Amino acid sequence: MEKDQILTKLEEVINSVMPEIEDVNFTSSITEIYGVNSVSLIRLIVAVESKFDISFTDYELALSSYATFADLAAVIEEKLA
Amino acid sequence: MADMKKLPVTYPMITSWQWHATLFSILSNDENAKKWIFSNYIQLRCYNIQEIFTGDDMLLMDMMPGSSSMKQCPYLVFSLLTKQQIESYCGNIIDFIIKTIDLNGYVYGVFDEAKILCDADVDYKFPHELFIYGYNRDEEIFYVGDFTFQDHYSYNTVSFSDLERGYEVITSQDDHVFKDDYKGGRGLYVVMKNTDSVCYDVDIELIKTTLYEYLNSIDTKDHFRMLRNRFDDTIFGIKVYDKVLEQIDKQLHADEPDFDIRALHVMYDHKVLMYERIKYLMKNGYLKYNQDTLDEYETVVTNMLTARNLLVRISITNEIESAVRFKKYLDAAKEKEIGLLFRILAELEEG
Repeated sequence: MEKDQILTKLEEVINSVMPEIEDVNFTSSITEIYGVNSVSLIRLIVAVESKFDISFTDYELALSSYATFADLAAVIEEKLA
Repeated sequence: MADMKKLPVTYPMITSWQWHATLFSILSNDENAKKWIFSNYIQLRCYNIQEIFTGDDMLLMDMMPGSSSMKQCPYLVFSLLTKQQIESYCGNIIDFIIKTIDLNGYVYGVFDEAKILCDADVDYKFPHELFIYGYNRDEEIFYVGDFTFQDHYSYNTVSFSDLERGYEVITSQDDHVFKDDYKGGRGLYVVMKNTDSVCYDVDIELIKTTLYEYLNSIDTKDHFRMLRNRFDDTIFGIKVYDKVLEQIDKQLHADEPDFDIRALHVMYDHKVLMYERIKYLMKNGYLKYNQDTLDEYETVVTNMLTARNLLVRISITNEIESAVRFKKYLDAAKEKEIGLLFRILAELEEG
């Protein structure tokens, strides 16, 4: 899957799981700008797993691993490669 | 009077309970207060209670000192004021809080956060401790810290009117904090910083003793019996790993599974604080600098965080069978922590 397609699909998942986020900026801080916390991130990752048919390890659920949504997209890209 | 004032706060390094988040919000950055912080919070203890709001069985996990830490910390002055005193001195709660902040006092107490945060018409109360550290008269808001606003500890604003209503609807019976402190009544606490001079130095003897007691799951009551002596039903130290595993197994295999992560979050905070303590002791010459020790303890922190996150994941997916992995993460954290802390204790004993 091309990177642009990943970003588009990821944005759909973000909009579905976090409807309060209106415009997704992939390089903004997910905690400071979007208020993402440990629980909401794991909810998003579970939805991402389903949408992209991939699995995250338990260690990959840590909020500190993702400063931005672009970081999450990079992990998805790696798993799809 | 100023139109706006915010007392200094620092996002707390641990957030598991409101009393810890409040104390660390006020003191985290203070070098004198660190002497007390890193000499304490070493012992962990847990026991089963009925949850205040739901009546469910819960495992109450906390560090020592726990909910009375703000009273016990020598770098804070923690004062109790009854509702009658507040009304007598200031007429109303809004003026009382503003005047207290003007005099550099933080305010802490129980409010109905359902009324504050949700529609005023909700038919339930959620009495919870709120930490108030500032105000803005022009916007008629208070600056507050709590968990309720964003599902994790955060600093937010609450309007004067919501806060007043949130205070008025709480009865003495609802105020689970104040009623135990003073005649079953209602009131608020004023918290002042007392950090200008050193009134408590790093206590290596206490650190050594409580590390030993933590590692050997020894009842720590002798250090705290002037404050509390109901410890018969309490598990201390390393044995809390086994107790939390047993509790999670019970809650996940109940007819209606429960996903209470609080005990795991306290254990995670305990590891975060222990990691910071080790760094502090190395930086100040009480331990030799050893990056390997720090790296190894970081894996303890990571495994505790992973166990907590796994429970959050199970609460979303209902994949109860994933719970078998808890034991792996908790066993790894426990084994590594025991080895490292015995080494650190031995180094401290050598002096």
